[in-house]
Amino acid sequence: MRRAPALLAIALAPTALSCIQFNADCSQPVADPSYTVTYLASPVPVDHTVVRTQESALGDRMTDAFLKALQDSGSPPDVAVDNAGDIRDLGLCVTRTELAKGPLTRAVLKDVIPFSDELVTVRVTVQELFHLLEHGVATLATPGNHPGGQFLQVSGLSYEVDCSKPAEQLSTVGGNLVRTQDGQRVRSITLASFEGEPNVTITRDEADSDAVGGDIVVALSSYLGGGGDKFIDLDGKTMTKANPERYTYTVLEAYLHALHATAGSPATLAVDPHHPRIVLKNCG
Amino acid sequence: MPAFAQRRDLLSLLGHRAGFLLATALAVGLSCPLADAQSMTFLHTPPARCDPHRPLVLSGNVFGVESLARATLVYRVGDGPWERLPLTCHGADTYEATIPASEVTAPVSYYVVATDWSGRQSAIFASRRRPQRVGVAGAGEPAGSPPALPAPGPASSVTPAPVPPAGTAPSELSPAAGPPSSTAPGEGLGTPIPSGGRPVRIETWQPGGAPAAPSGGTAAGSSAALAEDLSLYAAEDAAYLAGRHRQAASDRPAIESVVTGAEMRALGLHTLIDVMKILPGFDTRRDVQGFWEVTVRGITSDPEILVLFDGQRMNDPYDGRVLWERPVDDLARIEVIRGPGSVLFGSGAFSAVVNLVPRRNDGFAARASYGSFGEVQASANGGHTFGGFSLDGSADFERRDGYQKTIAHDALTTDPDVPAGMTDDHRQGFDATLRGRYRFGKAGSLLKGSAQVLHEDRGALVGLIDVVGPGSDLGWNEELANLGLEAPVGSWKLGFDLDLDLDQTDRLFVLFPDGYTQGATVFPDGVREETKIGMESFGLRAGASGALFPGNRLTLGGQVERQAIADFGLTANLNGDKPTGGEMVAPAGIAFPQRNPADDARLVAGLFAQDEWRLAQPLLLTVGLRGDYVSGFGLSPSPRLALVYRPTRALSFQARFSRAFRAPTFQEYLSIVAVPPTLDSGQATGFQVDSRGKHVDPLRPVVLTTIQVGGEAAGAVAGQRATLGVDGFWNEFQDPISAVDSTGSPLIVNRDKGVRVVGVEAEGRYDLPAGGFSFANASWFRAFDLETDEVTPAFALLTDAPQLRANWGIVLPVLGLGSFTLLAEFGSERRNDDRTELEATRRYQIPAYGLLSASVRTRPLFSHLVMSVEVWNVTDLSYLDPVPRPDTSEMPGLLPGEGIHGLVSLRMGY
Repeated sequence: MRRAPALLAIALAPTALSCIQFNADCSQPVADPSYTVTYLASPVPVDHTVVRTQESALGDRMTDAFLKALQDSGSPPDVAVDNAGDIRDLGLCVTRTELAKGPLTRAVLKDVIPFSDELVTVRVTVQELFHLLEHGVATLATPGNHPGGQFLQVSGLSYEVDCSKPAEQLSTVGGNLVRTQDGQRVRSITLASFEGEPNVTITRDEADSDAVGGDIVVALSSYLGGGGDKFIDLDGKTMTKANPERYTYTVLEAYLHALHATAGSPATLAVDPHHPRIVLKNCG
Repeated sequence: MPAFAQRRDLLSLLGHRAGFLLATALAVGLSCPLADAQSMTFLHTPPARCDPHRPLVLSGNVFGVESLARATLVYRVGDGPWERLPLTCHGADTYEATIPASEVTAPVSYYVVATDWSGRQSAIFASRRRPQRVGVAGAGEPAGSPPALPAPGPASSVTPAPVPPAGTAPSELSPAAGPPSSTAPGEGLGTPIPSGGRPVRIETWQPGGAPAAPSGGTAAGSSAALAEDLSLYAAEDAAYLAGRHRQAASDRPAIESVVTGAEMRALGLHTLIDVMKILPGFDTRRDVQGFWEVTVRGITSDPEILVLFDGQRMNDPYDGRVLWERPVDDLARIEVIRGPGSVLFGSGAFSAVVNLVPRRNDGFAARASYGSFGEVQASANGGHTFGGFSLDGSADFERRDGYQKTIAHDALTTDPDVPAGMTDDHRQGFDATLRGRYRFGKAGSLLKGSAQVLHEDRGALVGLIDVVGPGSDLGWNEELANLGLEAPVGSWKLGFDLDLDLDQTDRLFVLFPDGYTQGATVFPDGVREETKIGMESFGLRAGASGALFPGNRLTLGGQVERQAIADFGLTANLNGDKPTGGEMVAPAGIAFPQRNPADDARLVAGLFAQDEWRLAQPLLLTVGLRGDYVSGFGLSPSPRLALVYRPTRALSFQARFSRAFRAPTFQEYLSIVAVPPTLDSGQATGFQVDSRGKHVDPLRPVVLTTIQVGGEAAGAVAGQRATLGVDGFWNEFQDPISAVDSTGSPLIVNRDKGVRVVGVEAEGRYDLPAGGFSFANASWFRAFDLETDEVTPAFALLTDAPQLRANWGIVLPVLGLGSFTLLAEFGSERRNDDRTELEATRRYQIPAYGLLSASVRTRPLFSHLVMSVEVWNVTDLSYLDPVPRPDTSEMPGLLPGEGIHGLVSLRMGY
C-alpha cells in the first residue's frame, strides 16, 4: 500500500483516541480461556521441525484421545492417525517450541491445536494403510523438502521407516493427482490388534504381495478423511461420523483433563522410549 | 385451513376494516386552524423569468392551510418600494396572486407572508432579507440576479438540514405544487431551482463572482432579520419521508438527511451508492461477487434498508438486494432516514429508509461522460406540461470494462508466483422511467402513473466465494409500475396507489475454472452454477391525512401486497460430484420452493396510524402504531414515539423511540447455497422439513428497538450560515439474522441473544460566499454480539465495519469560471468478527482508509453547457474490502478496491 499523504495520516489519528476497539487479538474465542486443562510435569515439544519428523508426545496423546473417544461407538476404531500439521507452533501472536511445564490453559492448548474437525472413522485395507503411512513420511530426509504437515502421529499401531528407501512420488497426470511411484520406506506395521489377534506385525513384502486381507478401521479427522494433505487414498472413502458428534480438539482436552493432574502431581506427557510408535532409520 | 385460503380470508377482512377506519377518520376530520403561523409553508416553484408587460402569476399550495387566516404577497419591482398583494384561494390550499402587467417592467423580488387566526405573521416563502427573484426577459438582470444558467453549485444543504421542495414528494397526501411554468434559473440543466430563501447565494452568482448585496427592507443585523436568517430551517424547507407528508423540517420525527440533485452534481455523485458513501452513519463496500453492501450504524444487511422510488419499494423481494448502481441524474433529491421507519413503511423499513424523489419539471437535460476503464455514461431526462397534464421521463445508460486488479492468491493457488487472476468489474446498465401526472377538479386531485425499467449485466468481481471465476455473468432486470390517485376531501387528503414489481435475476457463477480436478475427477468445463429467480409483487397502498383539531395531524394508512416466486431454477454442470459433460442440471438434494405454496409466496399487510400533536408552540409530539402481518410469521406491532422541542427557530431537540419488524427474506429463509463438488448439497436447516412437513428450526423475524436523542442548531459564523446536528442512538436487535461461519460455510441463522449497537452521529454545513458550501459528518458506533458476549465476552465486538466514519466536502466557486469540489472519506480500521472459532481463525485486518476526490465544473458555456472533470481516489490508495475466506491458503490478499479513476462529462440543459 502506498503511503498515505499527511492529510490522511492525520485522519488516522482517531485510532489513538481509543474510540476504536477490537476483540482480544492473541487468543482463540473460547469460553473461559484461563481454564486449566492439565498440569505438565515437563515441557512438551510442539516445534514443527520436531512434530513433523518424529513421534511426538502431544501427537501420541491426540491419537490416544481419538481411540478413547470412539471406544463405545458402533464401530470402534482399530487405530488412530493424525497429521502433524494439526499441531501449530505458530500461534496467533506467539511462536512456541514447547508447551511450558506447569499449568496448561485452554487458551494455550487452543492456540497450539487451533483446528477442531469432526472425528470420523474410515475403513482401509492393509495396503491402503501402508500407502497412508508412506505419504506421511514422503518428505522426510529429502533434499530441498521441508518437513510436511502430513507426517502421521499414530495410536494403536507402530511403524518402522527406512528413509534410505525410495519415497512415494505424486504427480498430476491428465489433470489428476496420481501416485507415480510407490513408496518403500515403511518397512513394517505392528497393529495392537488385528482381526482379534494382538500385536500383529505386517511387513512391507507381505503388504505388497497382497498376502494380508481384511479391513482396518482408522479414526482420524474429517479433514484427512476427505483427502486433505493429499492423502489420495482417502479421497472418496466413506466417513462414518460419531453419534453424538465429536471433535478433535474437544476429545483431546477431555482426555488431558481426565488425567486428573494437579499442580502437585502433574502429568508426564512424553514419548515412551521403550515402546516407540515410530521407528526411524537413516532419516538423519 | 390451508395457508393460501387463510390469506384470502385475511385480505377480505383487511378490506372491510380499512374502509371502516377511513370512514371514521373522515368523520372526525375538522378544518380547524392550527394556532401557529410558523408551521405553515408555501409550496411554490418560482418561474425563472417572465415576459415584460405581461401579468406575473404566482401560485402555490399552503401547507398547514388550516391555520391560515390570510396570505400576502410582498413584492417590489427593481429597486422600487415594497408592495403588498393578497393571495386569493383557488380551491383547497391553492393560493394565487397576480402582479399586474403594467408593473412588470423590471425584475421582480417577492416573498409570501402568512397571518394565522391569532394574528401572528410569518414569512412562509422566502423573506425580506432573501426574497425570491424573477428576471424579466430583455429587461436586464437585477443586481445579483442569476444568469441563464447558474454558477455550478448546490442549491441547498447536503446535511443535516432540509431541502427546499424541488419537485414534489412521492405519494404525498397533500396536493403537490404544480409544475413550474418554465425552467428555473440556475437549473437549466433540468433541476428546478429550489424555492425559498436559502439558496440565494447560488442564485445571485454573477460573472465577477461577487455575491449579491442583500436587498433592502430590513436592515442587515436587525434581530428579526437575523433570527430569520439564522433560522434552523427556512419556513419553506420541508421533507416528506419521516412523517409521510410534507412537513417542516424542524418537526421531523426521525433522523433524516437530504441530498438534492444539484448537490449530487456539484459533488460528482452519479449513482445511488455514491450518495450513500457520504451520508452520516453509512458505510459501503463490495463483496467478492461484486454486490455493493451498505452498512447502517454498524450492521450490514440489504434487506434491512428500504429503498423507495417515488414511494414504491425497489428492493428485490427475494433477497432484499438493491440495484445500488442506479444512476441519479433524474432525481430531484434523495431523502434518507437513519433508524426504523416501520410505523410508516412496514416490514423492510428497518435500519434505514431511502427515498428517491424524481424530478418533475419542464425542460430537458442530458449528460454524456467518458472515463477510466472504458467507462461510458449517457443520461437524458425531461418533462413537459400540457395544461393539467405533465409528462416526464428519463433514460440512463452505462457500460464499462471495469478496473482490473490482481488477485494474488485464491483457494486453488499452488504456485505463489503465479497470480490467481484479476478482478472483473465489467458492467452494462440501463434504466428508463416514464411518469405522467394529471391534475383535475377544483380541489386539485391528482392522477399519476409511472413505469420504470432497470437492467444490469455484469461480471462477478471475483467469484462466488474464494476462487477467481472468470466468465461469471450476473444479470438483473427489474420492472416497476405504479398507478396512484390523490384527492383532497374537505381538509383531508386521501391517497391510493397500486404497485407492481417484477424482478428477474440470472446469476451464473464459475465456481472452479476449466480443467479443475477434485481427487481423480476432472472437470474440463470447470464447475458452474446458475440461479434464475423471477419474483412478482402486486400491492395496494392507501392513506389519509388531516387534522382532528388545532395543532394536530392524523395520518392513517394501510397496505397489502402479495409477493411470489414466479420462477426458480438452480442448475450446475454437476451430477452428484461428477461433471455432466457441459449440461446444466438441477443438483440432487436441493428442495426447491415451488414444492410448497407456503414457501414460494407470501402475503404482506399492514395498517398504521400516526398522530402529530403540537402540545405547545415549541413542542411537537408524534405517536404512531403499526401492525404488520407477514404470512408464515404472524402479526407484529411497531410503536413509535417522538418528541421535538424547538425553543427557538435556531435550536431543536428531539427524542425518539421506535420498534421495527422484518420477516426473513425468501433467500434467507430458503438459504439455498452453492453445490461445489467438495461439499454436500448445502441448505440451511431453516428450510429442512420434518416428517410432518413442518420446517425444522425455521428462521424467526427480527425486531429492532431504537432510542435516539439529538439536537440541531443554526448560527452565523463569520457572517455565513452554519448548521450542526448531533444525535445518539441505541439499537437493540432481537433475533438478528446473520451469516455465521461455524462449520466452514456461512450459515444463515438467528443470533439467539441478539445484537446491541450504540453510537453517535454528527453533521454540519457551512455556507460559503458566492454560493459555495462545505459539509462534514462523522459517525461512531460500537456493536456487540450478545450471544458471543455471554460465552466469550472478549470476542463480542462486531468489527467488520469501520467504527469511525467521517466525510467532508467543499464546493468553491472559482473566480467566476466555475467551481472546484473536494470530497474526502475516512473509515477506521476493520477486522474480522470473532463470533466463532472459525471466524477467529479467518483473520483479516484492513487498515484505516482515507479517500480523496476532486472535481472541477465550468460555468455555463453558451448558456446551456457545463463541462466537468472528476477524479476519484486521487492518491490511488490501495483500498481493500473483506472476503469470506481470508485464510492464508485462500484469499489472504483480500479484495482490492478501485484505484484512481476519472470521468469527463458534458451536460446540457434547456
